[in-house]
Amino acid sequence: MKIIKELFRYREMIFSLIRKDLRGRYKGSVLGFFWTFLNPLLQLVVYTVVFSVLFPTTLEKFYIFLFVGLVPWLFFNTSLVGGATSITCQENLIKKIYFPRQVLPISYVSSAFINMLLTFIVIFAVLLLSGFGIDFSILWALPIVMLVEYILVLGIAMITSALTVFFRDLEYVLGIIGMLWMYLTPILYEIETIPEEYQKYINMNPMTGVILCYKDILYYKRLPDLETIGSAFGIGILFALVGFIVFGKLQRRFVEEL
Amino acid sequence: MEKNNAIEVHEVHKKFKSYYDKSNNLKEKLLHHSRNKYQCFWVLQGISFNVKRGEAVGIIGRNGCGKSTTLKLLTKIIYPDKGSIAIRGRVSSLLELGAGFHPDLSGYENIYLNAAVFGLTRKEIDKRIQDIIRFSELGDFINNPIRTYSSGMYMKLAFSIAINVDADILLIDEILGVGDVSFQKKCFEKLIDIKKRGTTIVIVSHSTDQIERICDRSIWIEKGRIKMIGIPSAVHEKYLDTMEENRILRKRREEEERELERIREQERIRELERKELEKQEQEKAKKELEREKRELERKAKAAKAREEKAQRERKERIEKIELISSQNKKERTQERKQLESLRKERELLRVKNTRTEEDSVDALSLAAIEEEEKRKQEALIKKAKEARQEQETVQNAFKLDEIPEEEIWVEYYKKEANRLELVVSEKNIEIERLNSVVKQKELLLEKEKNNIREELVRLENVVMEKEDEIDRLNVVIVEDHEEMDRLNLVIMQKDVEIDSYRKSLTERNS
Repeated sequence: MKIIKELFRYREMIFSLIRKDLRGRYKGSVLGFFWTFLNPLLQLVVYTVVFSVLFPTTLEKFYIFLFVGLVPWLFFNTSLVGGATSITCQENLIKKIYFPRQVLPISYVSSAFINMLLTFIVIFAVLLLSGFGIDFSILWALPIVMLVEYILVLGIAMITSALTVFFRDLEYVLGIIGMLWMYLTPILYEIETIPEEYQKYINMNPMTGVILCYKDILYYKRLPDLETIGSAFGIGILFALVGFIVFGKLQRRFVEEL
Repeated sequence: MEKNNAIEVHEVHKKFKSYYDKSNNLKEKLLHHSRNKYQCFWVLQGISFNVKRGEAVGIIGRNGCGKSTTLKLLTKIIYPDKGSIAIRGRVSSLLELGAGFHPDLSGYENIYLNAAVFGLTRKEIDKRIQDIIRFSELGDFINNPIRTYSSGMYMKLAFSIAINVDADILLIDEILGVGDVSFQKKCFEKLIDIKKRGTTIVIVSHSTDQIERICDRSIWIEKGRIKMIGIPSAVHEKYLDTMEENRILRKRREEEERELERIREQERIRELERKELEKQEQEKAKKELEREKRELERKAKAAKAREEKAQRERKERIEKIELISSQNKKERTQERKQLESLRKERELLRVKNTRTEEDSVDALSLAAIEEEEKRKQEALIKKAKEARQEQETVQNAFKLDEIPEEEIWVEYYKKEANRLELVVSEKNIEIERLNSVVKQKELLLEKEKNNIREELVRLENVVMEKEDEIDRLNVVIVEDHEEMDRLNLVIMQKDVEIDSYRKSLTERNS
């Protein structure tokens, strides 16, 4: 509780870090902030070309199917890999001054989250412009799913950022883990298409529920099962709790390790 | 926590690990877990103090005594290993100024950024921003990016933000040296002002002057422990005295050390010289020893050579003796053979002799025959006489009767007698010849006998001589053997001597 209070007091720091991050992200590039939208669009183009021309699938409007899963995944992946270095990158700050260290992963994940929210503008645009349409009656569920994902991602980022201080290699290991994780998450495929005996493993993946919810709402235009979203929420809370506890324990030795 | 206290520090220990080879990557952590050796040292060894609300406390101490660590612990940048720290109120630290400044952002933006790092909300910053800008004396520069600032401007801005946070507790580490003199004065006045407003201040400084002017109390930390707490002037007096004492002590110690070092150096040089000398001596001794060794070896070699020569000679002599003895043997055998042959000859001669004797016997028989012949002759002569007497008688008778017939007979007998006389003389001549032959033979025999006897005697003499020679040679051989044994003994002694020399040599060498 104390930490939450303190974090609240340091909210301005979180905001300013998020601002700095968002503004600084594409600093120096010609297109600047526009890359926030351009980047997922280009990725969409690549995947669409690959999966409709090179490996045609039976799924209708596959690029929509892919896009609504890919964008939340990119948020997760960015937080997983980039969030890991959020502490080590701010070495100077940490060594010099006191502030709740949780501020750093929180602001990093938050900026990535805001980035995802901005990308969702692109998603909506694509959905509407392609004629695929949006079921506005169930759209209220989308923020809940996003929040669930935010909590889960925050927990994971807490753990990885704290561990990276002690094992710098983790930063690079996580790049590979993220790649593998993507294929273990039903982003490029429907979970029903993989062999039955492996489905349960896929379901153990904490990201599976979240991605399925996104696809339910935006692609299948149906409300996700309460079970799916509930379990995803549970897992998210669990990860967040573990993350905060682990971080709290490890942060005491940050300065000495850095 | 007591109500009046802003800071409570209780029995705080802090351990620092100084890694010999710090590794932060997974591989090294996993592979060389044991190699991650570090040395622990306790920077703080049980520090306890309280700071009342609104109090200003100065921390003094020598470099490395742990005062900065204490301040870092108070800011919660690091955490104690033992003990507890309780802090009430917002803490602002002037430990590291300008932390979190972004060089690309303007001074104005950085005020927000840096103040946010101090935990100020936007509203609070908005309230203070004018004060901060004014205090920083930056004027219009505030809208320029920070990277364009001079280091003085940078520090001024950073200090302005930190001091305007309006924290409940202000921690300051040796930063009253910011900017020019007037700015420093300003800072100082601001600090006093802040203190008057009831802010708790903890200052770490080497400047006892500054501390005395601001602080109510002074804490003197020495080697991780609190040495003294009290009124600054009193503490500082002691501190400075001790420092001065320490300085003098240190100076003296340094001098002593230098002196010691000098002495040591001298000793070292002397030692070196001594060693050099020793070395030389050793080398000399070594050379001497080696020379002795060589000498000995040479001697041993010579002795050996001599020995070998003696042996060789002995061998040769033995061979010679053996040769001679074998020759002698041969000779002896030859002589024996000769002797044998002589004996044989003698035997033969003896046989011959006997034969000669037989011959003489023959002569005797001849003589007997002669005798016989003589007797026969005599008998014949007697017969002839008788015959002549008869004839005479017959003649006489016949003289009366027939004389012619008687005359024939006489003639016949006469003739017969002459023939017989011839035969006798012939036989006599024969006997004479035979006798002379016998005599000759006997003479020859005698001569030969003498010769053989002489030869025998000579040969026996030779044999005896040879045997004597053999005996003598045997004695020589025995003597040689004895000589050999003696030389062997000498060699052994020399060997032992060489060994002992070698041993002593190696001992000396080592």
